[in-house]
Amino acid sequence: MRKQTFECCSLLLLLLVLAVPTFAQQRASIKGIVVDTAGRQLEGVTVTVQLNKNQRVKHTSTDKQGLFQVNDLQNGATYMLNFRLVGYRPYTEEVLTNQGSISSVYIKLQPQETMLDEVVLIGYGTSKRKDLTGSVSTISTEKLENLPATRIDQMLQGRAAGVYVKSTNGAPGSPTTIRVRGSRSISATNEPIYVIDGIVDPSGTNLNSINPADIESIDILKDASTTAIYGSRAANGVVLVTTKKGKVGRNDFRFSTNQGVSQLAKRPEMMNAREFAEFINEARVFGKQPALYPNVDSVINIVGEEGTDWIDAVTRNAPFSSYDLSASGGTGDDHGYTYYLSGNVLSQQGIIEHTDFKRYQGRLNFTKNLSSKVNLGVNLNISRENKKLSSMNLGSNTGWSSSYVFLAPTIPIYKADGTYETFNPIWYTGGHIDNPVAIVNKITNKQLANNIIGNFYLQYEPVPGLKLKSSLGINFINQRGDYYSPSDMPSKVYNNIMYGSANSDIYNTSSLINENTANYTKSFGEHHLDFLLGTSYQTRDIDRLYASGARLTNDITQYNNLGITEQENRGIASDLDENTIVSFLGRINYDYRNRYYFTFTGRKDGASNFAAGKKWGFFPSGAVKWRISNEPFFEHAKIRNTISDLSFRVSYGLSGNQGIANYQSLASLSANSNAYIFGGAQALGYTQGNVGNDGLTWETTSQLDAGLDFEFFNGRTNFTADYYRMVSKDLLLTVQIPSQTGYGSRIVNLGRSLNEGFDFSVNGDVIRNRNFTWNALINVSTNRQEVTDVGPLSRVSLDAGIGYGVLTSYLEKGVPIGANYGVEYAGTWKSQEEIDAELSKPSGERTLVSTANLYRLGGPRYVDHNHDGVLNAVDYHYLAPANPKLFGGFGSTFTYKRATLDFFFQFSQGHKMFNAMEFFAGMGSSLTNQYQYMVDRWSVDNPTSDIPAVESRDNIPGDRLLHDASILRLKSAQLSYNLKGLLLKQVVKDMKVFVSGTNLFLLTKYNGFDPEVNSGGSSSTIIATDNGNYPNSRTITFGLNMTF
Amino acid sequence: MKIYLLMCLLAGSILIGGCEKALDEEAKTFIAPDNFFTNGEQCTQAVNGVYGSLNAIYGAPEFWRIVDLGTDLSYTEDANNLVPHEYTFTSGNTGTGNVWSVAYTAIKNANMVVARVSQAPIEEQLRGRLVGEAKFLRALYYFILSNFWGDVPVWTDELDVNAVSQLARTPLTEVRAQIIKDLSEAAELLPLSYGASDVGRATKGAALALLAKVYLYNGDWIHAQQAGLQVVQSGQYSLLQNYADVFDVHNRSKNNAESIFEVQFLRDAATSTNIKTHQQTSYYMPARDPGRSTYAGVDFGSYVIDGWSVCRPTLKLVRMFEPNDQRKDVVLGYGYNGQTFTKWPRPDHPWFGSKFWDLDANAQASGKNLYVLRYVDVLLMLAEAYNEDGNIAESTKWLNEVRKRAELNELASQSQEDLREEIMKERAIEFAGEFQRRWDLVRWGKLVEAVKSVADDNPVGAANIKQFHNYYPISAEEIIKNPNLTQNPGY
Repeated sequence: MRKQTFECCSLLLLLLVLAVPTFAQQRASIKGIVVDTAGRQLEGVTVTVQLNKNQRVKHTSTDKQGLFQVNDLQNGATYMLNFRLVGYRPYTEEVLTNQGSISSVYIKLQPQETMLDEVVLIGYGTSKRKDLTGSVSTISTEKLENLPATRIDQMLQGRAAGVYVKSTNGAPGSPTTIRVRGSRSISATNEPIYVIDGIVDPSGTNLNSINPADIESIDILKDASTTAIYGSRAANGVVLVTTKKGKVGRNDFRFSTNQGVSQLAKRPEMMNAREFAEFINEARVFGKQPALYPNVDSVINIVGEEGTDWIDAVTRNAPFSSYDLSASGGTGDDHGYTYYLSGNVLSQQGIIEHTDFKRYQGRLNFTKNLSSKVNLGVNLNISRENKKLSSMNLGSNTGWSSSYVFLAPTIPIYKADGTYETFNPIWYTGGHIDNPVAIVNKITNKQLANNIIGNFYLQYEPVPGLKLKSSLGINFINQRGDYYSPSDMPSKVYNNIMYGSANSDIYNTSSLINENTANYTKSFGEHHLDFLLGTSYQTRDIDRLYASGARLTNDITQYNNLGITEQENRGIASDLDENTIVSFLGRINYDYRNRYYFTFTGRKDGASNFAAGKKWGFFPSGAVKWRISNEPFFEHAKIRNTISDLSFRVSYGLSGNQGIANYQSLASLSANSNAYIFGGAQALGYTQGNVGNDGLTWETTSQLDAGLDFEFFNGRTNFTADYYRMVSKDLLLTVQIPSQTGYGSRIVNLGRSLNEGFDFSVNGDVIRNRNFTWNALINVSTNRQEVTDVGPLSRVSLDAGIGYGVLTSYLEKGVPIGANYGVEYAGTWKSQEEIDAELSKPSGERTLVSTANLYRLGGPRYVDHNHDGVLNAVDYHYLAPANPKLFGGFGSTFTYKRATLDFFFQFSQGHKMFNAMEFFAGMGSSLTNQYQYMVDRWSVDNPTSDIPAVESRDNIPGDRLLHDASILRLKSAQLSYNLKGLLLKQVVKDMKVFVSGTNLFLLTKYNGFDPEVNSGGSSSTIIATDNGNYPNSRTITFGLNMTF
Repeated sequence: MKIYLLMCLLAGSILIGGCEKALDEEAKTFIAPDNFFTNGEQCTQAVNGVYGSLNAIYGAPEFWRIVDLGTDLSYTEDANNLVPHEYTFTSGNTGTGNVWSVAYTAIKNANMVVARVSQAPIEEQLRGRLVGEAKFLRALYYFILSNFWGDVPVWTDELDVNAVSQLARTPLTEVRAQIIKDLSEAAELLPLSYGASDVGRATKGAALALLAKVYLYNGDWIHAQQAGLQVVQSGQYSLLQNYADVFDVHNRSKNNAESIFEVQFLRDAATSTNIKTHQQTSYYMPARDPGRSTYAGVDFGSYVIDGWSVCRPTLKLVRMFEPNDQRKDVVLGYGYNGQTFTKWPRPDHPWFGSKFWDLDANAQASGKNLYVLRYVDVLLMLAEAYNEDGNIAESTKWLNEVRKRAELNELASQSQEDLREEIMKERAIEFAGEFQRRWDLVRWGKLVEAVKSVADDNPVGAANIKQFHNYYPISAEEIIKNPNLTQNPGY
């Protein structure tokens, strides 16, 4: 309705224009009005009038009312009128002039779809892509719409060049690991920082609270020129998240729903009951013990040929359901306003029984003009998230005695009397456990979070071009975790210790950010200047209170009344973590004739978590850009018809990383309330905690970026290529120090790392017909990284947490961070003669080695890397990178009439990963079930096999267990049909039905659940370890969205 | 400069009190060393922390493996425990677990306590005692280190990370000299005994007994005799009448009259609360019958332990016992509560006995204390010191005290050689499984011979053992981190 009002006004204006009498007698004139699709008059539209190609061109532009007039034209001629305005599609209209009269036109410009005109967020401001001097990837959420996702980062895989996004695990609402242009830090974080509507959220903790449907766009700042404005925290890139605002002149109600189901996408192939029974018997006999199942058929009669499929027993098809409702709109005068109000209810059940994620969320984005000079705005997001987590062991190497991957298929879930089976006959000589089904059914492990994110700003424009803005952002998170293990857990029943145990863990986060900026834009002829100055003050504190109670004699009160536990069975803890950052920032943008651009940026940051006197750092950067296509020689060149825009840019600058825990520079004592026993009672004791470091300061990354931006065929196709080279120094490094100091490691500023690579992205309309369009996009990135200095240490072992002394990762000069280490597997020993021959050689001449007890038939052997005749950690050497050498994504959108098909593939190549599960399940250990391929193990009956025999577990990271982690994944696909105008025409403005899916297809050689997991979680260096992760799922949903 | 000024002005409204102050990091959740050591309680708590590492060393399976397995008293068939047993350890897989790092962590803490408590404004007597405790513990940790590795880096001041990171190994004689110095000073500072709430702390007797032992290791017979006699003359200690009572299966023998120093553990069996536990009992229990709650055919009642039965007695140990030795049915296990085991580890081999059982344990958790020094050790040290010194009569006297308790006949005077054999055998029987045998064998130069003597029970170990195995290799990782560390010969 508002739109119609606008159009009426415009038409009226046009009539007025037409009514003005004219006095041109001989010559003709053309006048008109230019409006946008909403009917608003457009000012500053360049109008060129030309009779034919050889004729002189007349120029004019529209005034504030969108009006223009061209006089002194030939009579009775057909003129070509060209209309151009930034952000709109160029438009051409033919007009026939009449003698002595004024021809009038009404021009409606369509918004420009070319990428170069899109507005890009650059931190404390915006830029047109064509004016951008730095490297920024923008992801429009349009194509992510309707996909079943709880967090926006889950959908970013492969979408942006140079940005490697990997899910850490498949639990609902679980975060991702993001590496912008590789890893550079060792002990500090490698994750980018997030800025959500201007609020810096360093660790992205709020992404679970934000409804992906509320997000308008995501901009990822990659080079130093753009990131330097975020200074000390920006070395790993910056992800800017912008939520939707109301649009002036519209009042829309939007409703959408998405309903579907998730299922386990891929699983490891384990032995079935018969295969396992035969295996365990062979292993027992090998160990000089009686066979566990002297009569295999009798156990098969009980559990069946396949036996218990523990993975199947705890996984399910899990429903996904989401509802969004939003209202948005606004008016656009000096007292106008816009609003965007939305609510979302989302429920995603996990594919493991009794796990889920539920979110109730609301958002208000409001802007208001108080006068032509003053405006204010509010962004407010409120959410409540409920999570149920799995307490079951997900297949970690150390969890072998009870995990759902390792348990024997010969163990039934339930005993004959219907209670849970507890006996694990292969836990050494047999022990009692809680089986995974009992754990998922009986243990409560839930998390609740209430999260408020708010941002309020006031902007004042005292003189045109000068904007003073002050903003205040808040973020309050109340988080509570509750855990209860009931008294009738099967192992407790078995041991006759039937008590419940409970704990609650409460965290409160409150953070505050105040930013004040002054921005001045001025043009002097062809010189355009843009200044920014600002300050930022951010403080965040997290407090914690934890309480636990054991020996609960009832199962009713659980964690709701911990006070009823006896004094000695109570546990308590509390903590406080405070951090402050103070910053000053500035930026100058200058360009001449939109041809030569210069940007200088600087930020001075002070952070509380560094040593006194080492808290301040300055991060400057500079960039230049040459927009070649705006040179006169290019303007008239023939190539212009093909290459409509071309620019070259270079930037260089510094950014920092302060992503380490607080209080690291201070020496501390740590207390232990159970330090020792005196007089038969616990005694409190203190020991030395953190070893102080009064030199601790930032790590600094310098980055060179050179990029080329092409636009072909007036924006139909875009191509961007970037080369970058980053050198990080003074790395915050947890250095392994000799244990004789009483410490294993300490954090210092030491070392250097290097990252370099190329980012490419191409996007374009391959076919653009009336009824059919095909839009395609591809992005490809390469990354090479290495540690160039780790100080005096030749190499440092990084514990990937696999356990049992399995070390798969080291830090070494010349090798990428987090790389995979190990030894080459060389098959099995086939004969005693072979073994004797090898062992009789002098140790320096041996080529094949085993651990001492595995010099036997069928024992695994390895290449002796250091030629000393023995196998140990000294032989471990760099085998393969953990980060892909090449990664990216490609997708297409096909539109035929009302139907749209969109799909997107993501790929990564050139990296490897250890499957930690195989250290037991691929080495013939008699303690666990085995991978199905172990059926072909070496045995007396199978003497040529190169798969190790029973009981070959040696905890050696051999490359047999190191797998190619390359993937090609159909990350998302969506088929939608537009019903606009077909149903309820009067009420419904827009309506779509769709079917969509994520993670639909995966091509990989990896033999675990999915190579796209990371047990390292938030570890900055370990990026590829599969050691018990919640498995990834495939989700298919259908839904509808409609706008009223 | 002007720009900064402008920025500061802009920021002025928010940053009241200046930018710098807003960035001060104030520790509210922990205590800096400089703010501690201000009163007696705090100083005591800092000393308590030094004791804590004892549990981490004596309670760790690696420790039992590297002192008890691979001697002539016990063997194993458990694949996870073969490295020390079969003498296949290397610098890459030393088999020594965390002993090195835990001992140095404790030494670091002890050094700080000695340095800071000595300066603390607290009561003189308490200060002396606390410094004495810290010095005793530091000596014990260095003693453990030197017994496994020989030469080890020695440092005694509060930590200077850069300096200590580069320390080379100190020759064994100097390590022992430092231990003797600490123990001599501790013996002067420590009390003879404590009130009930402090039982478990190091006493003068503990310092003297350990001192006697170090002198014995040094072959310094005279000083060993003097220190040992001081313990005896203190009148604080006596032998319990029954050997079995020293190792009560329900933990009623903690801190008894025979105990000079023991590592304290605690488990409340009544409420099944694990406070500070270890799993040693699960290493020494008979094998559990698959799928049942009996052990080698014997029902232990409500006792539930998910045990591994790792350590088993060698036939050599079984045959060492003289007839009627009261200790045989305690060290070795033939049955329980009137029931006889129905299964055996190997023909003619019993299991380890009730000395190692904790029938109040649950799952694998045991709260049984582990002895470091018993009075009987002092008696045997005196016997050894006098015998080596040529005083057969005095030696026999002390040895017979021990035999008397075992209900064995008193030995008559015999040659020094024969008496030496008797003392060695007596130590083997008396301290089986008490973390003594390997160290004794090494100091007597008899490790290789002993391991070869049990080739039937440990053929691989007997074939592999060489003289250089007296000391364990230093972890290759440690040598990478500190190139000044040299490796023990043979590795």
